[in-house]
Amino acid sequence: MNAGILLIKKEFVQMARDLRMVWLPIVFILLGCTQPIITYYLPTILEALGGGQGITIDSSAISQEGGEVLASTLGSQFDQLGIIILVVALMGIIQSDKSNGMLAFILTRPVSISSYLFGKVVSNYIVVVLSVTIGFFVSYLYVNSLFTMVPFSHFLIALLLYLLWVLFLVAFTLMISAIFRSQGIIALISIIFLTGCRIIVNFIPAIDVINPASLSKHASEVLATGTFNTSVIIIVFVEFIWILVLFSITNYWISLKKIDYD
Amino acid sequence: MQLHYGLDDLKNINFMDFLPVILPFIAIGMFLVVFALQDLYRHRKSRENILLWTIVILFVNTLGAILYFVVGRKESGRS
Amino acid sequence: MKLEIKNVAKAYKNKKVVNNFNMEMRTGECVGLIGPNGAGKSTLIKMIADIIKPDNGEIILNGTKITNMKKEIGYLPQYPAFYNWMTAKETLEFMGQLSCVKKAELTLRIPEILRKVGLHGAQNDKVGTFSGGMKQRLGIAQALLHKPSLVIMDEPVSALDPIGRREVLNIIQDIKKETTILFSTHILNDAEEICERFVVMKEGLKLEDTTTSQLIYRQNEDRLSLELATNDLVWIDIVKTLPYVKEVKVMGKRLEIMVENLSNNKKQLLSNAIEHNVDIMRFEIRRDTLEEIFLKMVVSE
Repeated sequence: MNAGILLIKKEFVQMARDLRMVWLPIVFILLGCTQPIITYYLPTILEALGGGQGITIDSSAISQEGGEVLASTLGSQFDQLGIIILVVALMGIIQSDKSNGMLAFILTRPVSISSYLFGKVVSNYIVVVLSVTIGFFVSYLYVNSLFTMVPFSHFLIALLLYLLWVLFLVAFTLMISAIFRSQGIIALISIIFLTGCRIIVNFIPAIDVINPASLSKHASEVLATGTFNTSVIIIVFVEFIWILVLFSITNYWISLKKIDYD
Repeated sequence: MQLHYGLDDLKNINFMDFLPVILPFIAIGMFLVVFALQDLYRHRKSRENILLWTIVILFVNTLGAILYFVVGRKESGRS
Repeated sequence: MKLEIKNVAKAYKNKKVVNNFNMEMRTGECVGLIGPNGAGKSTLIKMIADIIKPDNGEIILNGTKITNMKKEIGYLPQYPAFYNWMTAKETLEFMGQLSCVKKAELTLRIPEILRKVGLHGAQNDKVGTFSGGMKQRLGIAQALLHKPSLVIMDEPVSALDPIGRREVLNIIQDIKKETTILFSTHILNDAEEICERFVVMKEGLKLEDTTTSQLIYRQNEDRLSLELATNDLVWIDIVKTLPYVKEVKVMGKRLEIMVENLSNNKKQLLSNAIEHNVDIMRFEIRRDTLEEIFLKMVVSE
């Protein structure tokens, strides 16, 4: 694990130098702001745009509770543009090491594949967690000042559930990045699969238990309704299993030594 | 409710009412753009397509800057 | 130190790249692995470096499988990979720590080793700005950093320009005194210059495992080479009739004479020449150069 910690340190230095530590949080702050602001001004905007054309809008129909707005920050911002941005930020996580021969080189040293993956996942996940948390927190502040107050405990539970879904996202992108060679393909597969999972959640609730994206829906529900469904615990458990499976596949794939480029 | 409007639309109406709420948002967005441009300028010798990136960063709101950080920062002249 | 390669085989898509390869190496040796492109040298080296798993057979270092002996191996890939955003010093710190060298030791070793490979002045430059030769030298520094008992290098000089090649060869010449080296190359001159022992590979098979001197003596045929001052055709005809001469090739004033038994016949031929008052400029035993021997070996089979 000594090597794992060394690799984490190296990843942090790398992320600081390629400025990911700066732009990723900023992007999530912007995403976090967007939903409350748009929702808040929507009646005014619609009025201004539609006023001259005889469309009447009942502004009370559009006004929302704070919890609902915060929920749609997750559902409409983080789960759409957010997923794309995270995947794009993570697509090279293993692929770049693989394509320039660094992975093969590192593995000639006394470093196990699992400590290599450990270093990669922990470091990248920490940065992603910070970005999502900051963005979500800014959204929370906006919602509290523009709409009704949302209890902090709801915010926290939703955040934790959402971060677990994000861990799945990281693990999935990691696996795809280990398997495929082109960044474009990696991004495409990851984005399609992950947003696909998220869309399926809305249409086929029956498979919620095994759908990794359903945690995002449950996070939204906690915010919107304020109730915490105990069945979520099972989903959390299944999610962990998914993540472990993804890590094992990644580990196995690299151990096949398909890292040789010639 | 998923209606997306650009910032341009907002500016036409009751601008002063929006200001306190939107100011942080605009400020952070601006910061990202300036940050990207500053990085591009600082490394202008080792970057490709400087003009293209400048346009992308300035006019493709926010996403342009992200694109630059992900793709555009690969230094030229490397294998 | 003892490296054993036992019956190692590797195939890609049914094409045997390395075929039942056996070899042994001991401390202090410097072995050149030579062969034409596509002979399987690189694959073999990568199997020793534990980048590729052999389909068959095993590679053993000091009685332990190579997978568990990574600390004892210094590996220089054909195209050494580095993080371009790291400086030379950071790269060595990173690789050194990966190889389980203590930080305190690294602070002592790194300046020393950078000086040895001539990168001392560039220690704080980004690796991304380095030339091919500099990267190769940094690669060597990295391979030596943890004092491995075996250093393996995959085509260390093939991709370099003549200046870079010279620099790297000199460094290898220098480190050869302290470590055991196995390196691959398709340029015979490089192998000849650095090492005494060669292993010749072709199509995944070991053709030869020999030393420079053995190779020259064994490949030697009974051939004499003469150069005459004048084109003495009369004597050449006499030579052709001598009982121990098998064949005479005439190339202007130069003669190549095949005899039955070199050690006996060379004296006879010489005295015969003196008898006939032939003006000899040069009289020598003709040997193939290493390059000719190598070509014969690789092409004939």
